[in-house]
Amino acid sequence: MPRFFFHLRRDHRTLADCEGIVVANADAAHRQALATLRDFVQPSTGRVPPEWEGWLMQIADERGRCVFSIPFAEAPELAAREQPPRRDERRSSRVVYLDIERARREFSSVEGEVCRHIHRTMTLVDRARSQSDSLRAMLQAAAEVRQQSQELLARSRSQSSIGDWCWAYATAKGP
Amino acid sequence: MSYIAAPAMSPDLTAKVAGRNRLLAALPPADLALLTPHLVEFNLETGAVLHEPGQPIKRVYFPHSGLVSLLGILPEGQAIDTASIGRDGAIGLSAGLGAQTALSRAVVQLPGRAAQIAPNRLAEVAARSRAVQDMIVRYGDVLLAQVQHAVVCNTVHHVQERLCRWLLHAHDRIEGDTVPITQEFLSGMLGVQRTTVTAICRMLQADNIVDVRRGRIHIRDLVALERRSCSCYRVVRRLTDYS
Repeated sequence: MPRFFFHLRRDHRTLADCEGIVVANADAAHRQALATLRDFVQPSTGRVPPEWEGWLMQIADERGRCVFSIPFAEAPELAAREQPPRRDERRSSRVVYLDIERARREFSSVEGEVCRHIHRTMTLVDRARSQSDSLRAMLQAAAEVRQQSQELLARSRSQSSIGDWCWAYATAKGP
Repeated sequence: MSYIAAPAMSPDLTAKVAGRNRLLAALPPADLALLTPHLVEFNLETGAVLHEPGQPIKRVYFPHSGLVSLLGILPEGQAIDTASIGRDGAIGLSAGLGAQTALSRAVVQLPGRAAQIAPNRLAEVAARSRAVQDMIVRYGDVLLAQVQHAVVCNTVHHVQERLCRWLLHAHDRIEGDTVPITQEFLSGMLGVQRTTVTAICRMLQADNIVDVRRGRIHIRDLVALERRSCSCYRVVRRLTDYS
């Protein structure tokens, strides 16, 4: 049976596992890694202690190739999820599943992001439309006011010319 | 498991015995003198099962050194540490007040020595000595409190804190700074994956707190280890302070 090594990594620092564990296959090593990470969740807070959050568990095979790695920060999520399905339900290697699962997760998060953006754009367009409508109404009202004031001006002008004439007539006649 | 053929202790050994097991040491000299003739030295060897649930209590043990765990056993066979007993306690003490059968599995985790006594002898002494009766009752309470605390600790504290606490308790019960336990064993005690224990040990080693070798863990920085442990270490230690 193959041996797998559970190294700890953070940035450029590696705490190598020199002993490793013997398990049936990469699938079993993956299950072991998930169970290990679940242990790291603090029961009272449901979180990983801060000093572990930046670390990564890297699982390597006997040739030193990294088979997969899981960040400790993902542990609460793993713990919240149900126990992994039984061995007989998944016969093929879990390593493949991991990639598909991660891709699915990332895809759904991107999808959610896009939906949020679309929604935001739609509300912005709606707002712009209603603003342009009210602007048009205001312009129309301004035009009406302008017309009314022009009419008033014209009337007042004609009335003032009549007044001038009356005044001139009165002063010319005298008492 | 091996029994050491030892004669009943001479009175001059009384002081030596009392100086080691702290329950015995807390007894008034007159009461201790009643017990001493019946105490027999016993070697605690790693892995020896002292009591098995449902089985009659054949001997009561007062450890002078070493560590005995009381294990909670699940139907699936997994056994998890619920209380650790060292020179501050006794195993099967309630037999002195008439208990017949053991209720949990007691396994030697760290080797050492103990004084043992037959339950009927202990009961005879207890019938004559109020101090011995008090010791038995009081220790029952202490043990209960210890187990209650373990339950709280297991539910609330992080595995790293619990591991450090376990190492500190073990360190208190050995000579020197090297605890002769495997990581495999520690994972069983804490009820976590072995890979979890190795990861934590590697981190503690990188921080110069412990030195992990095959089958043993050497403690390099006791102060730092206590800083990483939960406060339960101090609390449980205070419980067994009989002075």
